[in-house]
Amino acid sequence: MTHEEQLLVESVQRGEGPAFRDLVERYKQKVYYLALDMTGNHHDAEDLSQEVFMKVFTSIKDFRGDSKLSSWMYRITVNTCIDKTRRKHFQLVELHDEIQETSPGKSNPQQDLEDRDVKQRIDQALQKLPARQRCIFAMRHYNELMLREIAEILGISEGTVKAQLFRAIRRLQKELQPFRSKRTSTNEAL
Amino acid sequence: MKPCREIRSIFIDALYGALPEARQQAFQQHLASCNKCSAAYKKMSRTLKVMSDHPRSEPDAKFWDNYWDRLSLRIESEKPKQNRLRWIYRVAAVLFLIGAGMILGRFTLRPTRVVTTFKGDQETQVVVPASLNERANDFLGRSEVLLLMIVNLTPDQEGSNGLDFSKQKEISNTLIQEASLLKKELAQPDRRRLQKLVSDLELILMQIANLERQNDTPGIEFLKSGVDRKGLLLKINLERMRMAEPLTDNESASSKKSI
Repeated sequence: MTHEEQLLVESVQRGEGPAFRDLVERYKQKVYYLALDMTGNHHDAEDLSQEVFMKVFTSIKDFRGDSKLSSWMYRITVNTCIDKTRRKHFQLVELHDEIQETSPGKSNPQQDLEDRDVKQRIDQALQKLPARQRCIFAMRHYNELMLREIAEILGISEGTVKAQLFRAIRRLQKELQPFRSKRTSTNEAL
Repeated sequence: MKPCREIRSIFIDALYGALPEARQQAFQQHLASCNKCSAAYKKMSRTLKVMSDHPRSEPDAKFWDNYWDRLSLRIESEKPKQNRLRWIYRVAAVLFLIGAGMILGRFTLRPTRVVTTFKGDQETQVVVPASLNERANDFLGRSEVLLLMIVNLTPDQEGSNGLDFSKQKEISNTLIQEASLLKKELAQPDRRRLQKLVSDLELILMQIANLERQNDTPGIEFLKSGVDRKGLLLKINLERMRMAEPLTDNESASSKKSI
């Protein structure tokens, strides 16, 4: 844990007013995006990320700094997501309908439609992964965490993370196969 | 050449550019010479490329600007709920503890009897909860002994200083407490006679408990006439003989129920 993180944690533990807000501002995107990768829809992702911060709020007094603050928060996020996944089957909702994207608008409507289709297929393929594999894949691929850090967050060995990630990619490959074949025949660039 | 299995174990490192330089060359050499591994690696690599080319959609800046406001609103709204839940848990815990205490007390404080068993030369004593019949029988037995003691008193033989009723009064008080419990438990129709006997005995026991500590000869005489008039000793004997007989099926069932 860095010195800055330590100071932040201590401020939150002492209950200093703006400290918790600082912590939320600093980690909201990491927590939200992991929740989004796990749930596949904006509404549940926001709900889960808020739940994570409420857990952080009540349990930060027990955080002793044995691991990085971000690892600790990721662990809470993963546990909350997996716990929710067990209880509720999340519904995939197209993000485009829910919120506006920050990416610049494409001028080509045909391309837009195609991209939308691909994203939907990717989301569907991700949701078909077992929760643990989905979470490992999201942490590595989208959140760019190192395998060692993922292993620490999940409390498993690095070898297990690697094996699970391998299986996840193979499974995604299988799910996206029909799409890739279609695309390859029309667009050799892929 | 390295075996395919070993090469595939480093696919993940290679896919995410985490393969050490030293292993890079051996990896590339293997792919160049093994079509199977090469094809598998290319497929995985393409899958990741498709996913990277289509990153997840991101919410706009407004979403992030208002994030804290929405979160703090939720935290505020959940607080009373959490406090209420905390109270509910506390009340439930107290009720549970009271209930558990009552159940435990009922079992552990129930009158017991000691059963002696023999295994070879070893004697083992086990304390088991007494049944209603056993407790009633025990009550009648001890009451009988007390009444016999009172009935057979001859004040002239004991001398003027020999009549001290402290012990009898103490025993009476204990038996009165037992009688009040037994009366409630003997409320079934088939046990009315026994209940009536216990009530009569309770009355006599109260009289004993109210004797003067020393030399209450008139009280003793009054007691003797009461025991005689109601035929209590005979009734006790009859009742204990009845209890000693094996129970009929109906009696057995009602006895079990009362236990």
